[in-house]
Formats: sequence, structure tokens, C-alpha cells
Amino acid sequence: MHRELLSGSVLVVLLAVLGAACSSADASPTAGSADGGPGAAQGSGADGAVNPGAGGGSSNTGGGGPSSGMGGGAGAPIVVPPEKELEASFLAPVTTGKYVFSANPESGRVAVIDATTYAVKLFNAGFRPTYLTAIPDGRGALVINDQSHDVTWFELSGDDVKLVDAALAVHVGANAWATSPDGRFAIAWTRTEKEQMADPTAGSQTITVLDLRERTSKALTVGFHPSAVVVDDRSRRAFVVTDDGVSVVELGDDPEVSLLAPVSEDPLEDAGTRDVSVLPDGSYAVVRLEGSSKFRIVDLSRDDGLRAYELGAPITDLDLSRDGKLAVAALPGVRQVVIVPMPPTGDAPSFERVSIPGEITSSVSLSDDSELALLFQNGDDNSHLTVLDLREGRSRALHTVDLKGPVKAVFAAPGAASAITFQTPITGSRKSGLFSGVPTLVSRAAKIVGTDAQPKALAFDQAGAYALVTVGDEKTSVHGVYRVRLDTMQEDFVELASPPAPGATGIVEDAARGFVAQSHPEGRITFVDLETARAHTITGFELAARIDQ
Amino acid sequence: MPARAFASKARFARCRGVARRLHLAPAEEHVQSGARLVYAVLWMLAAVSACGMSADDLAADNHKGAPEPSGNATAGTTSINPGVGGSGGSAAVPEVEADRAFRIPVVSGHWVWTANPKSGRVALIDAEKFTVKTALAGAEPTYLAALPADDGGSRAIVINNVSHDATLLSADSAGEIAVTLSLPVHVGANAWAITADGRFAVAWTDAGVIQNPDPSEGFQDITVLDLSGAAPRSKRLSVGYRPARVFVDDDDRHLYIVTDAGIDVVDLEPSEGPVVAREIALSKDPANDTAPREVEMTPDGAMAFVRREGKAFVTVVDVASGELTDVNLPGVVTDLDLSRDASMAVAIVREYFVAAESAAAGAGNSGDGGSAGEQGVGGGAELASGGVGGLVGGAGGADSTAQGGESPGPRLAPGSLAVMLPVATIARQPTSFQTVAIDEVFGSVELGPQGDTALLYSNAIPSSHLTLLGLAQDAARGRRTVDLKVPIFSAFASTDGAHAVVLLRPPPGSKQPGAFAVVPVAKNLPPKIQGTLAPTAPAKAGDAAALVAVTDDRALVTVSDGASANYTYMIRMPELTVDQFSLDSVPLPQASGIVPEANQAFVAQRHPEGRITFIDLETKELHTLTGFELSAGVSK
Repeated sequence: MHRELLSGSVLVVLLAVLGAACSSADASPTAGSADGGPGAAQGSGADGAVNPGAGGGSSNTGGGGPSSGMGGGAGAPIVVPPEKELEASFLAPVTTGKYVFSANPESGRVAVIDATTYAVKLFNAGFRPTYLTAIPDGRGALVINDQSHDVTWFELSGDDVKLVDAALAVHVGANAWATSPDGRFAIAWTRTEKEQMADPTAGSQTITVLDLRERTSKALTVGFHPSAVVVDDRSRRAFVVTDDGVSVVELGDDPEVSLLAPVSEDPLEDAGTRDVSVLPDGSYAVVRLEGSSKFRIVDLSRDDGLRAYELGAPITDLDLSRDGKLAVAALPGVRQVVIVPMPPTGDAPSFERVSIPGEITSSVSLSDDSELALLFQNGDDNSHLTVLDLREGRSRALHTVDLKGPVKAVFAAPGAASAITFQTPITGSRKSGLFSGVPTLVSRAAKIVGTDAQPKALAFDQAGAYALVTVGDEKTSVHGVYRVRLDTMQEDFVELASPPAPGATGIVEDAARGFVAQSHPEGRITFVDLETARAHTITGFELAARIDQ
Repeated sequence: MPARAFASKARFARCRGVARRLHLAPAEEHVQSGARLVYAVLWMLAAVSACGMSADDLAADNHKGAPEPSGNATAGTTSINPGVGGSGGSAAVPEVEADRAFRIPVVSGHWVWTANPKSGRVALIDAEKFTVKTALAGAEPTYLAALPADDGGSRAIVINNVSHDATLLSADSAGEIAVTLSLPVHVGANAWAITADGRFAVAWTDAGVIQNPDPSEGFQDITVLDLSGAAPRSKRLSVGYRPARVFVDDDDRHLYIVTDAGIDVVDLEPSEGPVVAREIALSKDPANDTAPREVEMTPDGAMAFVRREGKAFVTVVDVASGELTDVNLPGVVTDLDLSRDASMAVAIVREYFVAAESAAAGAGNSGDGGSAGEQGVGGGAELASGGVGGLVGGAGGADSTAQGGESPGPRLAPGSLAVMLPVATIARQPTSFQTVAIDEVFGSVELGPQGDTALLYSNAIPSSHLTLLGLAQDAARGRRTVDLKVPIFSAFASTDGAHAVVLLRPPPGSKQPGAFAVVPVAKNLPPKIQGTLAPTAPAKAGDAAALVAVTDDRALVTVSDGASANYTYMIRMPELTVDQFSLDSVPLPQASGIVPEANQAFVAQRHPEGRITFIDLETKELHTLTGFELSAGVSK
């Protein structure tokens, strides 16, 4: 199961519609892209029923229905309901230095908040400034002005923030960002909203490459329906995952689309059934097809670099490590996971298989540095989380914990010493939501936390010492954020006076504070001291828009 | 019996909130330097109520062959209806853990501390002079614990339920109270564990006393207060889901917290402050092992013994290594207790099976079973070398329905088994233990603070028989069964082990709503049966059981119908005389005890302005204080 990797190691997850998504069979597999930072990987759908021992013969053109293959395994078939890609639906607020940026489309202003002093500075941007992103290395921030179709650029200069006088145009409809690790390039692109997916004319095929060094912008055309944009770790190429394949963009002084790498031999294959990830160095893409027992490797330097590997049972999820050195595929039909070196150096039979006895684990979530694979099932009510230790010398040790309530999404903290799970409430519970803090590298009890509103968003600090879990319920007007100390799993609740804004939970590393921006006519943001859990709320300025930095 | 076990014993999901048995002296010893006092207060709260059924209900459909109360261990007159065998009979009905929810109020010298949540005050009563001093604590002070203090003075700490902090109070020899400090504690803290040296006070949440908790409420926070030095500190930690018991080891270095997940080991003294050093699983498959369980620990924290409801084995846990060893027994283990010196664990098997011919021929002949047979030998190993004959299933059977045996098949044995597990060797030699088969049906065991004699009884069936089984290693395991005329609810040993106080449950229609017995243990003398004017055992869900306090030579049994019938009975031992005292109002839960230094017993009662009655242990003189703030639970 894929998760966006953000600039720095701050992970922010938004599960704005967790409950709804959990009950929906078409849980937004294509919404998996966030404004990626360096090495961003792309998530995609994982739906697909599984049948055990589907011994070969599954079709790459299948629509994800249950396979009827038998073969192989003894005992009753294991029928696994489709998994749901909830991790992939997050947005990513980021911060620059000690500043939090907030755009207000209505006023045309961007507020810059100093998280150490709580001082607020307002800037006039373009017409409807809406989509913000940080420039890596703390250089500043960019915002797409939705109506004037241009970009306002904020630069950090010493301890100050100033506007950069540069006219950078973007294409109409740009609503998402990808940035290069070196901070030179920012790519504005258009994530197709769900309601537009069925519109054959809404291809969203334009991207705009901004060269911040040369202060230029250039529009390019890529494949139909981009679902993710990532830049390689050397800032040389960008990859746009589309329905047609992966559009490869050569950056440099004159950016251009150099290649469309096909991800399927069948041009009519339903792109919605694919889950495409790009290795951080941009060398290969990994493709999982819903309901299929095969996965594909695509050489992104060629237009004929497609290879397939048969694993013998339907693959319900496949997660790629951040360093791109391995992928882990879930085969719940045979109670196994398969560890695949990236790029594969041998045939499928040579891949290492790990049995997961007694558990159905159809989703995989890898920790940032691939220390652990967190295995679970969210296609059915299953409260078990299995931790597979991938570290050297650990002999693939496994342990399973019962988290009481059905697991829906799992996020490993930086450093992998702990994880946060989002869950649906335990049967019979009077609580509206549930999450758990799970120590993963040592044998400690998981902390089960019932909440009065559904968990909506999650942010870790870079050290993996703290997490913020934001909860909200529009109906009951219960809103708040939990500060979680990940070493002791102490959790402290801070009540919020208004609903948390989507994608607006984050950490300001330089200030050792977390924040939750909230929906409020005059703007409201609450800062939470990570050490003390003390809260400080600022109300009455223009913070009504999406927060970014 | 572990030295310092805090709060509730086993927690069984089906019997949550059940009050039960006492863990006596140790809790006081660590408070009173010199261990000069040994006393205890037992409060049998809402015991069966939490089970949703009374013991009568529990027994109604089970064990139809329960013995008539005339049997004797050696007489062989007990009759068991073998027809209930097969499916396991009453083994499915758990014994009522009657010591579940009580806390042990402790008294600091001649002082009694009491908190009033409504006024925010804590009162200190001099039980010798009957003077009262009060001090303001935080918001809603509720849960008190005593701390060691200098001679003549007294110290206590109280959890303030609303302000989520703890107030440390000190009193000088004149009873003048000073509020020393306040430290934050987690929300919902309702119990204390205190190290013997008083350096650490650990606030935790006993899930077992919380009514109808939400399943997502794990009560996993604990707060460790380090009261040493000039700047006492508070640190919150997280432990496993639903803590049930807390143990402190002998050297005050480690805390052991028994939870659904296992045993969390808290190291109290690392440089970075207390940490959860590790967690020990109590099962090889903890995610799927969901049977309710009872855990006992040795005082040094080296070993733990785990019983699971409905399971025919005991798991021995080497705490240092985390190694688990299952000791298979011939039937479902219905109770487990550890001797005070931690040399022996006693497991009770209420029902087991014997080969048909053995059962037919040997019913009524009891005796030491000898060493267990080889584990799992053919499913039909003969376990006992004497007594009732062959136990079907041997030590290898893991389920209550033992397998194997030659035709005509196994039959339910006419009595029960007490299994002595040697703590020092049982993990290495899990098939080497002693079994005593007795022609009495019992499912519960109480070892008491001395642990010389096991009190064996059953409250899952209406049995009036209390069996006393000697445990001394150097003597034959003497035993005798006493008929107490009325079905037993729970039993408590006096602190010296010479007597037992047994709460009885009169059958419906009895003239007296309650009864208790005082049983000489050390001497073979007849018991004293005493009817009471209010129930001693819960009659229905929500009712409370009697409150019992026991020392060497005195015991106090306090009963109430929750309205106008409120009495306390003072027992003198070894005379076995009983004096009845009428109380003016309803006794408060967990608010009765004995203050040996002041030679007084006390019963705090519900009253708008506070009321507490003292009873002189010698003269029987009553002294009631009314009109001050004493309406909360009393502690030391």
C-alpha cells in the first residue's frame, strides 16, 4: 500500500472521509498523489478480490473480479475482500523553516505565521491564491493563483519572508505541485478530481514546469489523467503517471517530454485498476494490476522496457521502499508476502517469500527506510496488525498484535520505532473513532485510543518522537487533536473550537510545534507544543484557506 | 501469595466488578516500617452483579451431582452424579472471583485518612483521641493511599478526580496536615501502587472497577510519581490494554502490570526516569489468545503463573527470559493462588475424569495423587498413584474434556483436585507436581497470608463444605472438611492463618438474610456459624457483599441492605465470640477496617456531613463521629 513521501520526513495523512471511504468499494485509488517532495512515490489503487492458489492464468486485462483459479494450496479457499487505498488519499501540509503559510482565496492574501512567536504577516498574492507548496531546503513557498493562472513566490531571506518579483504563469486548472529535491524546479499539474474522471474531455494533460533558477515557466503536454508526478532524486527527470503510461520529462534548461513509457501491453487496459510506483532514481516503475497475480517492471529509459513477473497468487498490494531497493507484495490467498529486490535481478521463483501463518494480510505499508513491513487487512473487519521485521539479521521475525478495532490504515513513524493505525470503532463501542499507537521494534503494548470523532489527519515529526492525530466530526461538532508521545504512547487531547481544515495538520520542526488550521471565517490555527502539549490558538486573521508552507 | 499486589486480582471479562478475596499483610508492611501491623479490610463489592447472574444462577444448571453437605474427605460418603460427566459438566461455570474489586484501606499508625470528593477536603482522624483535622486537596479528592512516615506522623497521597492531579499530604504527630505538593496524573486514575520505601507512587486505572467501559477505553495510562528529592516528578507511561493488577517487586525497582496484552515491566530507576522496559507476552499467540485470565507473580518478580478461564493448563512465565511453559492438568483450572513465600502455586481443578472402573471402585477414597504422569501419554495415563485412582487424560490433556481411556470410557470423578506446583522447578519439569484428590467439590482456593493451609470451597455450586488442606512440605498433607451448613460465598484467612472467616449465602427463604462462619484452622474445633441481619453475599446484580476485616485475633464483618439494616459484627478469636453492633447509616464501600495501634475498628458511613463509628476492640465501646466531612472512601 502506497504512501506519499514528503519533503523532509514529515508525513501528513489526511483521511478526510475515512468512514465513507471504508464503506465504499471504489475507494479512490487514483487520488493517490500529493504534492510530492524529493523521491516522492506514487500510490494507486489496490482493489481486487483474491482467490488462493490462483496458479497462473490470471489475465492482465481483468477488471479486478475474483479469480476462480484453484490449484496449489490445501484447505478452504481464502477469499479476501478488496483492499482500500486510504493512505493514498492524504494531502501534505509542509512548513518552511519556522513559518506556516496559509492562503486565502477570498481575500487574495497569504498569511505567513511565525510558529515560534505567533506573529502573522500578510502578503497580497494573485487572484485566488489557493494551492501552496514549499520549496525544498527551506527556500520559501509557492502558491498557485487559481484565477490569475500564475504563481506567487515567497522567499525566505534570513529571518524574514519576502515576495519574489517574478512573473511565472501556470496553465489553467493547475491544482497540484511537485518539486525537485534541489529546489530548482517546481511542476504545477492538474490532479483530476473524482467527478471529472468520467469526462473524456477533462484530460488534464497540461503541466507547467517552473525553473526557479532561471525564473521561467514552460507548459508541456503529458498523458491522459495524470495521477501522480514525481521527480527523481537527482532532479534531472520528472515522471508523470497517466492513463497512457508514464510520461518522462527531461528537466534541465529546456524541459521537454522525452518518452511515454507504456505500463501495459494492452492499450485498452483500465488504468483505474493499476497501481504505479516510480523508483526514486527514476530508473523503473513498478506496476500492480488489481486482481492479478503478476506485477510489472517498466524501464523508464525505453519505450519497450516492460517485463512481468508471476507470483502465483493475486497480489492485493505492493509497496515500494523509499530507497527503491525493494518492494513487498501481499498475497493473502496463500498467506504470504513476497520480497522483491528492485529492480528484480532474477526470475519470480527466486524472490523471497515469507509466510504469515494464521493471518490474512492483504495490505502492506513499509516504513521509510524499509526496516519494517506493516501488514494488515482493511477490506474486512480485521483488528490484527502484523509486523514483519526486514532488518538484517532479524530472520524476518514476525509478531501480530490485536488492536481491538478493525484496522483501516497504518503509518510507520520515521525511524520505524512506532506506527499509528487508523481504525473503525470496536463493535459495541460508543466512540465515533479509534486509533492506536503501536510500538513496532520492541515488544510493547499498543495504545488503543477511542475518540469522540473520526481521525482525519496525522503528522509525524522528523525524529519520529511525536505525532499529531486530528479528529473531527461535523455532526457532533467534536473537533480536536491528540498529541502523541511515541516513546511512551502518552496521548493528550487538545480540543479545537472549530473544524480542522482539510490537509491542514502539520509539524513546524524549527519551532517544535505542531499545528492544525481550522475552518473559521476569520482564520484560526492552533499550535501544539510537541513537548508539553500546550496549545496556542490564533483566531481572527485570514487563515480560512488550505494551509501549506 | 505475592508480596505486594495492588488492587484487583484476576480480571475475568464475565465477572468484571466482582469483589473477591483479600491480599493481606504485605500491603501494610510496606507502609508501616517494621511491619508491626497486619490487618486487612475486605470489601466485597457488587461481586456477582458484574457477572450478570448470582451464584445461585451460576449453579442452577450445573453440577447436578453436587455433594450433599455431609461428605468428608476420607469418609467416601460424598455422592457425585456421574451423569454430568461427558461434556465437562460445571467446569464451564467459573468460580466467582470474590476478591476482585476491593482495595485495602491502610491505616497509618493510629491515623485514619479519609477524602471527601464533594468538599475537596481530606480529613485525618486520630483513632485514639477521635479528633479530626482537615485540609484542602485538589478538585474531587477521591483515591487515597498511605505513604511511609516518620514516627508519630503520617503521610498520604490522594488522586483528585477532576483536577487530574495528586496531592501529597503530611501530618505531624499532632495531626496537623500540610499539603506538600501536587503533581499531575492521567485522566481516570483510580488506584495506587506504592513502593515499600515510599519513593514511588504509581497511579493507575483499575479497569475492573469501572462500570460498563467502552471497549475502546483501554485505561492504558499509568503515572509514576517520583516523590524523592527536592523536585518530585510525574511521568506518564502507557501499558497494555485494561490493567488488572500491579505488583511491585521486593527491591522496589520494578513494577509489573498485568494487562490483557501481557505483563508490562516498568523500570522505576533509569536515568531518564521510569520507562516501560519490556512487555512479556503470556501466550505464544497473544493476538488470538483471548481467554480471560488470572495472573499471579512471585514477590521477586521472577515468575508469573497464568490461569485461563476454561483451560486445563497453567502457563508458567519466566519473567527474565519471557519463556513460557504450559503445565497441563487433568481438567479445567478454576482457581490459582500462590503461597506467600512463593514456594508453591496451588491450582484447583474442580472437575476431572477417571477411568470408569476406578471411579466406580474408588469413589470416596482420597489421597495424595503423587507425581504427575508423563505429559500426553496416550491420553489415558494414570496420574494419581493413590486416592481416587487413575485420572483420565493425565497431564497431557489440554481441554476439560479429557480424551482417551479404555472402554467403558472415562467418568467424572467424585471430587476435585488441588495441584501443588513447585515454583522453583515447575518450569523445567512441567510434569512434576503433586496432586491431591479429595472427595469434595471445590473450585476456589484461598491460601491466606501464611499459606500453611489452603481453604478450598466452591461458590459456583451451592456447597457448604470448606476443606482445609495442609500445605507444609515436611508433613503429610493433612486435610479435613468442615460443614458450614450454609453454602459458601467466599473465605478469608486470618493474618496468622489460625482462623478463617467465611461468608455464607443462605438459601432463599432462610430466616436470616446473611450468615458467616468463623472456622478454627489451626485446631480441629467446631466452627461458629452466625446469622446476620443483612446479606453477606450479593443477592442480585448490583448488590454489595459484606465487608470483612481480619487481624490475628479480631475480625469485623459489616453488612447492609443498603437501607435501614446496617450492622457490623466483631469477632474475637480464638474465643469465637461474636458481638453485633447496629450502625446509624449505610456503611461506605471500602471504608471499614481495624486500627490495631489504636485498638479500634472503624466503619465509615454514608452521611451528608460525614460519619464514622469506632469500636474498641477490647471494651466494645462505640464512638461515632458525625458532622464532619467523611463522606468519601476511607483509607489509611
